[in-house]
Amino acid sequence: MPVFSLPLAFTGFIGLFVAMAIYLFRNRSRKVTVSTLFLWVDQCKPAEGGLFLQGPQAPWLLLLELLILALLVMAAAGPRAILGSGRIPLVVILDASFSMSAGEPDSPRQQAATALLQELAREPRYQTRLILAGARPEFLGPVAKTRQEAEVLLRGWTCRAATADIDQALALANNTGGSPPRILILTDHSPADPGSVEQRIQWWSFGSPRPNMAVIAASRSEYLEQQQVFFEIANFTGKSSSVKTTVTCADLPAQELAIDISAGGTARRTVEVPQTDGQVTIILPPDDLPFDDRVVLFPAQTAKIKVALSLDATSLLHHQIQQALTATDMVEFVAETRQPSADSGADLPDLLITSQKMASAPASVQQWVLECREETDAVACLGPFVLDRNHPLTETLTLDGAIWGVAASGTSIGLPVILIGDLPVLSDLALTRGGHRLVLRVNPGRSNVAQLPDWPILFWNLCRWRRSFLPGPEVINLRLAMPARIRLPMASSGARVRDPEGVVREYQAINGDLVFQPDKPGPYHVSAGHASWSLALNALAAQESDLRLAASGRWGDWHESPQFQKESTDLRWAFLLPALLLSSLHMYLVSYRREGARV
Amino acid sequence: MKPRIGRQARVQSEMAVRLMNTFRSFLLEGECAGSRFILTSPTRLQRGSGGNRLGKSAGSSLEFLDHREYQPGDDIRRINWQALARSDRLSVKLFREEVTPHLDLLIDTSRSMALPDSEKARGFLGLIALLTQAARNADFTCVPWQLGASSQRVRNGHHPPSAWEELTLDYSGDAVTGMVRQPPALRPMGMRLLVSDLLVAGDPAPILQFLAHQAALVVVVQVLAEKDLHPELQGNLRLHDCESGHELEVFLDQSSLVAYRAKLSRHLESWQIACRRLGACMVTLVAEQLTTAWEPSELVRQQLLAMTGVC
Repeated sequence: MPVFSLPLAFTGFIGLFVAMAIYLFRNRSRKVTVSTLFLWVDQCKPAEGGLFLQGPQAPWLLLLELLILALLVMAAAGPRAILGSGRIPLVVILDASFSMSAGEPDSPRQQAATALLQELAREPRYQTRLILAGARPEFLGPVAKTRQEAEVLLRGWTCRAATADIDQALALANNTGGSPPRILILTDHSPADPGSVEQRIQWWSFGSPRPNMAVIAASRSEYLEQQQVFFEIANFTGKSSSVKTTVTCADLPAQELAIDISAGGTARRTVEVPQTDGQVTIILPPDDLPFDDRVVLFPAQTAKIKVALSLDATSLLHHQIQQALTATDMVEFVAETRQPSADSGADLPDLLITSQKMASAPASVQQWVLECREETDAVACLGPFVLDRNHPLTETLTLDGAIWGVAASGTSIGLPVILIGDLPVLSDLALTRGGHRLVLRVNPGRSNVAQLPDWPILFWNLCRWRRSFLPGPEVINLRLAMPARIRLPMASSGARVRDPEGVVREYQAINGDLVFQPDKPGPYHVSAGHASWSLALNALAAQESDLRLAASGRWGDWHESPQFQKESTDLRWAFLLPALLLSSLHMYLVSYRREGARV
Repeated sequence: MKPRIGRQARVQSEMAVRLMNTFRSFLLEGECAGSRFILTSPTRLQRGSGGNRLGKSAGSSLEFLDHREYQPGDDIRRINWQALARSDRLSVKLFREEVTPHLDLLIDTSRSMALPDSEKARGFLGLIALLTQAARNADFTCVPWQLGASSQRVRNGHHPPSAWEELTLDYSGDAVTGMVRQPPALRPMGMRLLVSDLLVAGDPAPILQFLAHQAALVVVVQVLAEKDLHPELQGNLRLHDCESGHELEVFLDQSSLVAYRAKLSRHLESWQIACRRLGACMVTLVAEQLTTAWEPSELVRQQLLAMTGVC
């Protein structure tokens, strides 16, 4: 099937109508009244034209002229065709963002899939590679050589991403190897600059502006004895609306809120709920995009680390450390337990703060040790302080104005985290079995660091860092595209995850961490041995929820690219040659008419 | 209650009245032109017991013609007694006869005589009126006949042509041939003058034979329009027969016109031959030329008309 590279030339078909009009007007008969017809009856009759139908008399010259004109117009349109049985590489970039699912069953995704299959049916020589364009592009299955294979692969096209990185997907498509492929982008919005769409790229958009209400932000936190739920609703409907919001919490009665939001604006609300471990759900009325109408929130992780403070209770250092730890609200002070043979570690404190030199490694990888060395020959040092900014303990530390009392001749173990000149005052030794042994050299009598904000910050960093190594999820309430990371207990090598639809999958842990990418909004339940946790995934993507900018259209034309010129063959000769032959025939027929006849 | 007259019928009636008025003006024009002419009488005239003209033969008028030897059966009142006394021979006097010349004017009322966009109707009706007036000037009795669906006398035909009524040129058939089927009551031994364009297919002999039967003289006057003789037509045309209403699509070029003129010439020649065979006289006039000065010179040349000297 030839493709016409200059379709504008088809306006030349107007010439056919002009030719027919000339023929009709030229050949129309003029009425003349005569006295009698018997003297005219044997005159020649016209070969074409006239008022009366005289049976099937075809105007051959007119037909020839029209056919010649049509052939010339088609030749002018630049017909080209890809001859032979060569395959045409095609890469299709599929927008995987959740806005593509708006308006089911006639969603942009469905329309795009249908259009793609029609294109593949039109040109069976495509060799198709599908790329899912989410936050990170990835190939969707192997190369599809037939339309049927592509149709099977398209069933894996899910639209649940928070965004679609088309540029990254384009880069991946260009690096697929071999000859530069044709690229087809299927999405629901127009390109940022339609004029800059490359010649090898076609951009097909199937979106349409739709009104939408969405929850674009939500969190849950503890405040005093209550839990607070914060959420923000955006109005993308184009007009001011009052949205009925339902907040449900475990077994408690649902709260109904009527929230007025101006067109294009947002509304924030904070709702207090009783202390509960159950999920809180925020529900909006259903619309064309249900993906962002429901938010599930679980309470943030409140597990405290068990800290054994094994210092001289009368010492100033003990007091300063205890005060700083209490201020973090992340610790639970326990008695020191040291059982070298304990393997479960369930009763061991998570952090042992001691003044004794640790001759050997902690009894368990689960127990970290902070060795505090109060050196008697310490001198007060003003700096310079050198901090390892990559270390979790130094986050937001400044030590401006700090006086640190430390002995000049003391030693430390591990990598220095804070130095005064070349003297390590805080060091970290990472044990091979995952624990950490920290050494803090400070003489509180010759220091003022405990009076600075950096002192509680240091211990807050320590507690948060230590808590991150406790079993449990890193983040409870996730947004789309965020991976779920869960530190599993020591004895667990994997975990089972149940998604919002009840499907259960098994995952293997790597270095004690379980990482998976949830894609369906809703609650997830993870269980590993006796431990279990609940996570929630929510859309919370304002850019994708705004459907007002969705558009439909097609941009780009492969046939204008130099690549297409190389792939195809010029077929103008197939139209010009017959036109030439027919022109010769036309000339012969015209010259064959009787003398004096109209030409 | 007055009958309702539709708007269309009213319009048609008004158009007919206008047409009649136009035709009457043509007749008046010809009547005026005819005052300059007299119709010349033929050699054989109708014999009668009286008349207002002297014939060339012997008759019973008082005008002396010649002497002749007495033959048994002659009227003894005609014996020339003076000649007997002088010569002892019986002879009789001969006197010129009195005759009454008559003209039957046969008018073709077919639509072709009113060919649109030509002077044909004017020339035709004018000629008829001219001939009628010329006949009246020559003391002919004249009976105009309109040939159409049937042959009927023109209403008020005994009056001057301008007073004739119901003379319309709207017959859609062949009026001349129809005359043979429904012949008019023509007077024997009279002059019969047929005025038509003679554009009818078929053999003219039966028509002329009918006219020549018991006729003193038959004259056929053909009136044609310039368009009939020399049509200036070219290209794709739809010819409309104004008599029958039929249409014919033709493509005409110079060769076509040459062929037409040849066919017309052959047609006229056939009429001329037929007229000669029957002793009739045929004259062809062109309406546009006739209406220019109303001088039918061909008729004068054929001694059918003579100038009176009256302007």
